[in-house]
Amino acid sequence: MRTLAFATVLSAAVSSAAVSSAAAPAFERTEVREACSEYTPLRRPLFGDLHVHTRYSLDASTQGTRTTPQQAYAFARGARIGIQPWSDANTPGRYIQLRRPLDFSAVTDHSELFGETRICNTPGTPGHDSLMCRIYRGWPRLAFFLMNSRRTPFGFCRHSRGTGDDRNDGKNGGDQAQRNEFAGCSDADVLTWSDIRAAAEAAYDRTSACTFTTFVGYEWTGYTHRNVIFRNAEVPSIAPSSAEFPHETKLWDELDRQCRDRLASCDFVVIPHNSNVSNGTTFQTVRPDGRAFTAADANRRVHNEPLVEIMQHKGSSECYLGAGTQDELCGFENVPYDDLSARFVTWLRKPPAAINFTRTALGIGLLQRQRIGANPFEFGTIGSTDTHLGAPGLTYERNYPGHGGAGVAIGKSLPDMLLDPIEYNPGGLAVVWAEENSRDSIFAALRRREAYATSGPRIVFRLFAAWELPQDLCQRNDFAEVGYARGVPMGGVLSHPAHAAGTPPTRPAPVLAIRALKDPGTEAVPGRELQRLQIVKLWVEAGAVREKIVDVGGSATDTANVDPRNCNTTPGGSGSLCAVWRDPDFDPDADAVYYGRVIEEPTCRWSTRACNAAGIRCDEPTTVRRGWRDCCNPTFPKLTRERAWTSPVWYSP
Amino acid sequence: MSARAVKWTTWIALCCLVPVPYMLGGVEIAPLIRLLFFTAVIVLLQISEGSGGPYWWAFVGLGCGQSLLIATAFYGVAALVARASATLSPARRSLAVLAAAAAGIALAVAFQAYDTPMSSASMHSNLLQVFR
Repeated sequence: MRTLAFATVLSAAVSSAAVSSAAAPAFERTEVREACSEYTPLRRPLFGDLHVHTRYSLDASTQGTRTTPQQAYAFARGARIGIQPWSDANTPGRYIQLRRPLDFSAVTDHSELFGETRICNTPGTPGHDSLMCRIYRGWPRLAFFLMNSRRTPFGFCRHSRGTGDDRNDGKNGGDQAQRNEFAGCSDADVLTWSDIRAAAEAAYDRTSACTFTTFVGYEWTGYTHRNVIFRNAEVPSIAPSSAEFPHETKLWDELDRQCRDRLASCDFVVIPHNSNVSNGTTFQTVRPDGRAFTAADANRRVHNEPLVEIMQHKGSSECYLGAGTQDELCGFENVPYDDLSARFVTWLRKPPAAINFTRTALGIGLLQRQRIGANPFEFGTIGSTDTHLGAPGLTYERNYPGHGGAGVAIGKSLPDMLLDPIEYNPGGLAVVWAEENSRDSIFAALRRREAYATSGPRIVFRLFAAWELPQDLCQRNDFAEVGYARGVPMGGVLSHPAHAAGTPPTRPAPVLAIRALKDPGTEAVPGRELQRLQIVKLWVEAGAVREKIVDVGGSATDTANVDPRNCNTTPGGSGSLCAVWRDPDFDPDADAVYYGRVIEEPTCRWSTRACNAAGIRCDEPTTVRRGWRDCCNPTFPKLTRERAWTSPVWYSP
Repeated sequence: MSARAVKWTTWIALCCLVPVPYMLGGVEIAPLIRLLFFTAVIVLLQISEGSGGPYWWAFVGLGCGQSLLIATAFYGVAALVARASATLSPARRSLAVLAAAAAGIALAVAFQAYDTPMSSASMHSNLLQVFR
């Protein structure tokens, strides 16, 4: 096997060299597969979704989701699938289908309660007829809350949970008889994890066509939420959950132990999400024992968590207008509370604090680098859906079916109401700049943070930072070649400019080349034009973080419009925006971070489309039925401005 | 029907018919009897499958606390109704109370007046669906 793998690596390297001698493969090949026939040395954007829940997640299953991981991957590749409400004859009430298939995806079910969810859905298994499972089947949302509160090891699975492959060695409580009695839970855990792995393997295109890539993954849902994405098929035999490993550092320890230390080519990235509703817990700078981060802690975090999911179904995590920023464009898909539990316990709601947002964390990272010598928040950004329908990439505002999760549970009929809480949205996409559509190539892009997020549209977005770039780069056709040759792409760290020996170092200001192309869309649903191209800069000045948002392309005023009554749009904006921008206020002694943001012309938000389709007219109160009252809540905008965010580039003195 | 019977009949009707908001993880707006039923199930779960730590007790506390609060409020309303109906003759009193209860049942069966997102069947339920 090793010989074959080596041969594959060698042949791939040779064929890559034949394609272009300018760039050797920028990633290590760790798996046995045919070489991709399409290899792009200067990389191409691949669109995907790394946050997908199926029926194996407790919350999805208690909302009527029956989609399996296999079906989720089929959906990502363009297949039509049926979703809830389900009739008594098991006929789906709705069908969904992507307009364009994705390039890659990962099913990331909650590993907590894998076993319980499976047992309650599988007649004949021990525990299936337990009272808890009866509640699960009769009052699923009550069971959701009860089972979540019981996920510390007790209840009908309490004696069979342990850690790793020593879970049944007697260290985990209970006597042998009890463990045997409840052994079904461990088995069910492993079976579900096996199903997820098998589905990823079956859907992964290992032919030279390289049409679709899957990753084995899962969600660790502790006091914060994180997705674990594995590099290839070599993965641990179980998915370490927050029930056994309640802090992210414990998760990393266990993943190191089970993956990197034991399996030759196993590697992973951990991607936090929903920092926006994490009550300030995602971007902490203290260890579990309360001591402050050291440089080693910071470096470990950056290695394990090179990315953050900035956009998804439960809101944008970039920034929040009024929470540490006056950037008006931060008023985008904001969830107006600080903690996800406030979704259910409304009287606990308080406005989000600045620390919940990635922009604040990027700034804190700069301060941390000054204080401890390392930046714990050197992360890139991606988007994804967090769909709980098993519908990766379903980011459309039109006919949005709701993504479930913490959203609306749908029983045996479609309720007459908005199908998601109005503060939610259809989610975003993860985009990587990769040489080819294979696990190794995409994983390498994730690891080096050459990745970006969109709020749904397939905007192509690129950014390079260098000390010197041609001012006419946007007009030339060697944008990427020059960018790679002279600088670093998004996700990179700008090193000090070279200078001749014996001469004093030059201290120029960095130049950013940034280019965005609109989503072309499809013939039936064309993409929207781009309105504005921006660079967001954070830097440290006098011990405090400053921010500046610079418009470098397009127009700050709307050139296109949309009528919220019927969602008809007028044309305007640009098909592409590009700029070469040198930082005029650069201080070579100050830590700084830059990222790009591009904004589309406005379109109708999903809720506006749903409200219009339901015949809701706020000036006629009789049309505003129960369940649709939020249609007329002025707190929530009728229009949206889709967008994309690059991963940042950093400068350190 | 005695004043005492009026009070208890009214109280039972209120507990079985009037939609009240309660929180048991999720929020529902349904008759008190549904909350009582859920609370009983949770306590039964506690007995059959063992203790579940502080969150578990929080559920039991929420169920019992809200049930007690709402039941007490309904008792107060029922007492007021009984007092107000004291001026009526026993026959008229019986007619009024039973007619009101019957009308309440008819309305509760005819309309999906309850928000029941914890159900596997429907987000909105009528009286029969509440117990399905």
